[in-house]
Amino acid sequence: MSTKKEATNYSVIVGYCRTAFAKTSMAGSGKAPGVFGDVDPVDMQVPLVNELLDRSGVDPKDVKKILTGAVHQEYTQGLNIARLIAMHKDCKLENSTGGTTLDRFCGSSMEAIAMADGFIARNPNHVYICTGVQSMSQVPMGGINPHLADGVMEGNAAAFMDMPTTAENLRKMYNISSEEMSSFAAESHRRLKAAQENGHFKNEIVSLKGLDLDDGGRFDTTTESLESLRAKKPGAFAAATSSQITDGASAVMVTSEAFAADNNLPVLARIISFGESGLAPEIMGLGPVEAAKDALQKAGLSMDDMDVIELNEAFAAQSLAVLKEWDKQGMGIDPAKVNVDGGAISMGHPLGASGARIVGHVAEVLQRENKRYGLATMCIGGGQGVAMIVENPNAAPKPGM
Amino acid sequence: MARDIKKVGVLGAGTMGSGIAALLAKAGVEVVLLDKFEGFADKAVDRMVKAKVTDAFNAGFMTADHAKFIKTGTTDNNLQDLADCDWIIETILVPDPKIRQDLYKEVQKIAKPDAIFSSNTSMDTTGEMTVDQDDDFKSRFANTHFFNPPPTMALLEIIRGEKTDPDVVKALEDFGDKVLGKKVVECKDERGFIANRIGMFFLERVLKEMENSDFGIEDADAILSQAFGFPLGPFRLGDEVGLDVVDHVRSDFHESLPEGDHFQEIFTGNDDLRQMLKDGYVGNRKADSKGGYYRKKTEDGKPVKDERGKTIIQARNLETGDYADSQKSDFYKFDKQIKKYRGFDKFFDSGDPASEFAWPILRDSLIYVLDHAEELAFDVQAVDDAMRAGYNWNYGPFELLDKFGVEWFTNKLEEEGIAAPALLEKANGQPFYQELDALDGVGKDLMVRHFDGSFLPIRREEGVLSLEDIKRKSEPLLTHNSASLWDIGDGVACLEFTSKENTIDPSVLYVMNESIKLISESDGEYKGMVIYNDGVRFSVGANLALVEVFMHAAEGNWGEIIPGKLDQKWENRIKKYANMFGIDKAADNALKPLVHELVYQGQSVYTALQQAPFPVVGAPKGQAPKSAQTVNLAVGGGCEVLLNCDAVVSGPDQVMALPEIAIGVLPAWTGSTRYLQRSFNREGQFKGPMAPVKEAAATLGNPALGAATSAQDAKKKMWLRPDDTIVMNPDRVLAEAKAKVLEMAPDYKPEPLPTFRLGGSGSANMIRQDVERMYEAAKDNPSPNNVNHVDIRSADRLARVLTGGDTLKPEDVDHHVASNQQQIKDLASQSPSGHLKVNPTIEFNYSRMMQLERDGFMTGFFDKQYTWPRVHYTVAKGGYLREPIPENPPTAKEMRDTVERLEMPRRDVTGQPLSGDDAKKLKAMADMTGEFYKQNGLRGKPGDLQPLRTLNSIRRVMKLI
Repeated sequence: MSTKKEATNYSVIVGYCRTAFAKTSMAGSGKAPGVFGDVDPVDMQVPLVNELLDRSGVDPKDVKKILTGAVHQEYTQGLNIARLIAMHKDCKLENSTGGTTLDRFCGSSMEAIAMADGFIARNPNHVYICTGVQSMSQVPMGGINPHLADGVMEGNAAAFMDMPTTAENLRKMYNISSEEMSSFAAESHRRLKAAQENGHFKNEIVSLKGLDLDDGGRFDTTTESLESLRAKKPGAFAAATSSQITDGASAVMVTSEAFAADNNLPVLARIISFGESGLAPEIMGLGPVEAAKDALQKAGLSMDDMDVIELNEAFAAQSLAVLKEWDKQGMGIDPAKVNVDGGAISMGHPLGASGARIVGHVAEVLQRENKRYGLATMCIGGGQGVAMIVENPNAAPKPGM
Repeated sequence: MARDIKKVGVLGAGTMGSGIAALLAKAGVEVVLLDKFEGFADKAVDRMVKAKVTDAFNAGFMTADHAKFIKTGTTDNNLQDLADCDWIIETILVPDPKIRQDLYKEVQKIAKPDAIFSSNTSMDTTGEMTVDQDDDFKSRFANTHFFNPPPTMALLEIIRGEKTDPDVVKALEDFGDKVLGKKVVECKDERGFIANRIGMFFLERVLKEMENSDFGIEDADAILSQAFGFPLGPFRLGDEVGLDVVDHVRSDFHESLPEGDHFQEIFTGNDDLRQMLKDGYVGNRKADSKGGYYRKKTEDGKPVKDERGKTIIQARNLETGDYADSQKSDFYKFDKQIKKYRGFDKFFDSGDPASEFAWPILRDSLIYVLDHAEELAFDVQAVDDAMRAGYNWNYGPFELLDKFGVEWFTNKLEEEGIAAPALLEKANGQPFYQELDALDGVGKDLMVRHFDGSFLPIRREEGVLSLEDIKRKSEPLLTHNSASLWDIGDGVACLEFTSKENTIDPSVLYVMNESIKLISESDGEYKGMVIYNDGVRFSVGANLALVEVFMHAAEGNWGEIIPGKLDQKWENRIKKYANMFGIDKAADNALKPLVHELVYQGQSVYTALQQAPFPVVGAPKGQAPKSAQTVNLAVGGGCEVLLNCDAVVSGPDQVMALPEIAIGVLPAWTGSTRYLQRSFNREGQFKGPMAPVKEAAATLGNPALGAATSAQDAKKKMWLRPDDTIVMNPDRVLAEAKAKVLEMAPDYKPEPLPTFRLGGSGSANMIRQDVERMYEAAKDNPSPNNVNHVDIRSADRLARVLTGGDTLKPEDVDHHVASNQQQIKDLASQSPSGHLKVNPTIEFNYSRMMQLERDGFMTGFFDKQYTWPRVHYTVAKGGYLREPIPENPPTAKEMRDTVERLEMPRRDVTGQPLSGDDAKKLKAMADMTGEFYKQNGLRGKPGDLQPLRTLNSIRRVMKLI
C-alpha cells in the first residue's frame, strides 16, 4: 500500500453493480415464478461482490465487512446472509471479511450504505461492500411466520398495513387522477426502454442466468392502454401502476476518499449526507418528503441544487404525492430529472435491493452526464423515509458557483 | 395380444379434438394434439386452461399442470410426433371422405405398425370410413364416439367394423372405462349409433310438434325437462350442444337414413336452422356466437340487465324468427306440477294442454326406440346406458316406458289405433326391468328383458362392485333412520348414508359409532370399512334444517317450523300450547347444551373413525354433474368425514369444501384442526407456527377459493392427501375403495392424533389485520364477494382456533397440553396474570383443538344477531346471506370487540367411540331424529312437520339434554 494521505470526512462510492431485476410472482401466490425464481439470494450476490473486487482490484483482505439489506431474514434470506456470501465457494472474499444483515424494509440497502459511511468515519482504511437482495419468489412480503404482538395490535397496528392501501390513501389525499397515474407509469416504461436502447445499463448490470436487462418493461405500454387495464381495477391498487414483484440484488463498494486515492480507485461519488423521517404508517409513501429535507439540510444544499433524482416508484400514486407535496412546500422539481432511466414500476422493486440500486444509479448518471449532485430517496412500509445525497467530485462546477 | 395404451395422438383441435385431448390429459395420459392450422392446437389448449369450470363455451376442465401432458403442432409439420402413439384418434370434420382416407394413409407411414386408429365421427359407419384401406389397417380401426364436452360427458360409444380385431376393441373398452372413466357402450355399425340416433329423433319430434302448437320454446322446455328426467329442455339442450352440431347431425340423418325411417317423416327441413346459423346463432359453445334459441338481450353490444342485475334473456319465436324477453312459462317447475296428476298415465290421459303437447312427442320417440333398438344396440340395457350417459337423461327410454307403465302404454297405442312395435308385444304388458329370483339362488337380482323376451341380470363391467346389487341380496349389519352398514364381502363393511342429500344428523353419527364398535369387536371378521353411497351428493354436511327447527322453537317462530300449514289462528293456538308447556322457554334454554352435545358427538365419532383399529377408506363417487343441481358435494360435515378417513378413493369430479364460515360458524366436527394438520404436514411446508396457519386460514376463511372443484384440485388444496387415489370411473370407486381397505388391513395401525405448536394471539392478529384490510378496501368497493362487517366476527373466531387460542389456564394443562405438563402448569400458576400467553413453546394436544373448535362454533352459533339470519337464509334459499356494509360502517375493532365469547365445559376427545351415558344420549337423539322424519313421512326434511307431534318431539329431545 502506498503512502497515506490525510483522510477527508467523506466516504466515496468506488463501485456499483447489480443483477438485472427479474419479474416474478409472489411466494405463495401459486403463480409461475420468474427467471430468478430458483436462484438462492446468496447466489445472486456472490457474482456482484466478485465483480466489484475484479473491477476495483481491491485486495479482499481490505474488505472489512459486507453489509446486506434483506427484507425478512428467514428461509433463503436467513442465517445472516451477509456472512454467507463470504462463505460461498465461488466468492473471492476470505474468512477475514465479516458480515451483517439488516432489515429496514425497503430502505434496507440504503441503510447499509449509510452504516458503511458511519464506519468509515472511524475506520478510513477499510473497504465495505454494501449489498441488497430480495427473492420475492421465495420469501413472501410479510414473511413466512409473521407475528403481531398484542401491544402493537392495540397500539398502532397500521404499521402492518399493506402497501397498496397506503398508496390508495395518498391517492385520495392528493386527488390524484387515474390518468395521472397511468401517464406516470407509462413514462417509467418509456424511459426504461430508451435507457436500455442507449446501453445505459451496460456498466451496472452483471449478467446472471443469461439475463442482462431488467425484464419487467412492457414497451407497448401507453397511458391509454394502462387506462383500459386499470378500468378493471381502479384506485391505486392496480398492478399496472405499482412497482413490480421482482427478484434481484445490488452491490456498492464504499471506502474513504483517502483510501480510494491511495489505491487509485475510481470514485463514482462522494456520500454527502443521509436523511431520515418517520411518519404515520397509513401515509408511509410520503416518507421521502421529510427525509429529503433532512438530507438537504445536513448537506447545506437545496432541492434546486439536485441534478439527478431517484425517487423509488413504490406506486405511481405514492410518487406523484411526494412530487406534489414537494411542490407545495416550494421544493418543486422538474420531473425530467426524476428517474431518468425508469424506475420500480417498469424495472421492479426487489425490496432489499432497491436502496443500493438507486444510490448506485444516481452515481452512474452523475458520471454519465457529468453532473454534480444527486438525491436518492424512498418510502418505507410502517411509516419511514430515507434519502441520500451524493456528489460527483469530478463534475464541472455549476455556472455561477 | 394384450395392448397397452400409454400415449395418444389426436388429429384435429376443434371442439371435440381439443376436448378429447383435455380428457386424456386430465387422466394423466400423454397426448399429441395436431391440427391442420398453425397455432390452432395451442390456442385450444390455452383456451381450456384459462376457462372457468362454469364457462359454458370452453368448460375449463384443465389445469396448467394437465396441459403439460399435451404436445401441440400441425399435421403438416409435426406428424412425426405420432410415431410413438399407441392410439390415434381422428376428430376432423370434412365434407369429402377422401381427405380423411388420405390423412389415414399419411399417418400410417409414421405410426407404429400396431397402433390403434379410430375416428370420433358418428356420421359415417365404420365400414364407410375404411373403404380405401387394407385389411391390416381395418383390423386396427374402430369408431370411438365421445360426447361434448368429452371431459364431463360420460358416454363413449365404440363401434367395431367387420374386420376389427377383438383385442383392439377390448383395449379401447378397457382404456375408455378404466383410464378415461367413461361408460363404454358398444354399438352396432349403424348410422348415428345409439345416442344421437334416438336423441336427435326426440329433438326433431319436438320441432315437428311446435309447428302445430301455440306454445313458446319456454313452454316446451319447461314441460319436457326434469318432469321426465331430461336435464334440460330440448331447446336449451340444442343451445348447449351447439346448433352447428345439431344441424350437422340432423341433415346427415336426413340424407342418409332410408326413405321409410320415421325420422324422414317428421323432418322439418333445413331452412330455419340454417338461417339461424347464417345469422350467427350457433348456440352456447362458440365464443363469438350471438346465442341460440335463447340469447342475451343486448344494447350496443352490451348485455342489458334487469333491476336485480341479472342479464335479461330473450327467447326465439320459431314462427317469426324474432326474439322477445323470455317469459316465465306457466309450466315452470313442471316436475313439481306434474305430481298433482299422481302418475304419468293419469297425466297423459288428462288431456290437459301440457299432456296434449308432450304425449305425441314422447309416444313417437318411444316407438322409435322400440322399433330401432335391436338394429342399433346389442341389448336393451345398452340403449338405456347410452341415453343416460350420452344425453344425461335420468332414465333410459325403457326405464321411462316402465315408469309410464308398459301395459298402459300398450293399451293407449291400441286406443289410438297405432300398431304396437314388435318389442312391445314381446313385453306383453310387463315391465322391461324386474327384480327376479337371482340366478345364484341368493335373494333377488335386477334383471332386464332382452330382445328375445328373456330376462338376464343387469350387466356390470368386470370389477365393478354395485352397492345396489348387494343391498338387493342382503340385510344390513346395522341400520337406523339415516345410515346403514353393509357387508360388501371379503371382510369389508360399507357405511352408507341414506338421509336426504346425505345430510349428517345424530342418526348417522349413531350408526357410525356403532359400526366402529361392531368392526372393532368382530374378531377380525371385518377388516375395515368403506364409506360410500350412490347418492347425487356424497354428503352436504350437518342437517341445518333440523337444527333450525329448534332455533325457531326458541324464537317462537311456529309459523316458520310448519310453513304454509298454519293460519294465524293455528299459529296462535300453538304459541299458546308451547307457552303453556314452557316449550319455547325450554327450547331456548336447551338449545345451547343441545348444539354443544351435537358438536361434541360429531367430534368424538369422527375422531374415533380415524383412531379405529382398522382402516377406514372414504369413497366419494365423484360422478360428473349433469347440472348445477347435481354436483357431487362433500361439504361441511360430509367433507370432515373424509378428512378423518385413513385413505380416500375418489371419483374425478368430487367437490369438497368447508364453507361453515359463510354462515357465521366454523368447521367444528374436527375440520378446522384436521385441515390445519394437513397444512402442517404438507410437503415443502415452512417450519414455524404461522406458515401453515396462513394457508389454513386462507382456505377455511374463503370457502369460494378454498373449495376443490375436482378430485385433482382437491389434492392441490389438501382436501385429499397426495397419495389418495383418484379413480376416473365413478362406477369403480367402491371396488377400488374395498381393495384399498384390504391392502391397508394387514398390520394396520392408526396414525396417532396430532399435536400442535401455535403462535397464539400474535399469529391471530396477523389474520385479523389481513381481514381488516380487506374490509377497509370493501368499504369503498362494496360487493357481495367482498369482506363485510359480519365476516370480521367470523374470521376472528376462526383465527382464534387456528392459532391455539389466547391463553392457557393452569387447570386446563392436563386436558390440553401434550408434553412438559408440570413445568407449564407451574409457569402458568406463577404468572401474575394467572395464565400463560399461548406460544409455540407449548405443545397442544388434540383435545385442546377440539375444545377451541367447540368454543368457536358455539360463540359463532350464538352470535344470534348475525348468525341466525345467515342460517335461516341458507336453509330457505340454499345460498349465503351477504349483509350490505351499513351506511356508517362500524370499525373492525368494534365488530371484533363486541362478540360475546363462550367457553364451553371441558370435555376430552379421546379417539374412542362414544360409550356409557354419551352413547345413550347419542342413541336417544338418533331415535328422536328418526321419529322426527318418520312422523312427517319424510326422510331428512323436517320442513313439513305435523304441528303437535313436532312440539312433542321437541319436548322429548329437550328433556334429554
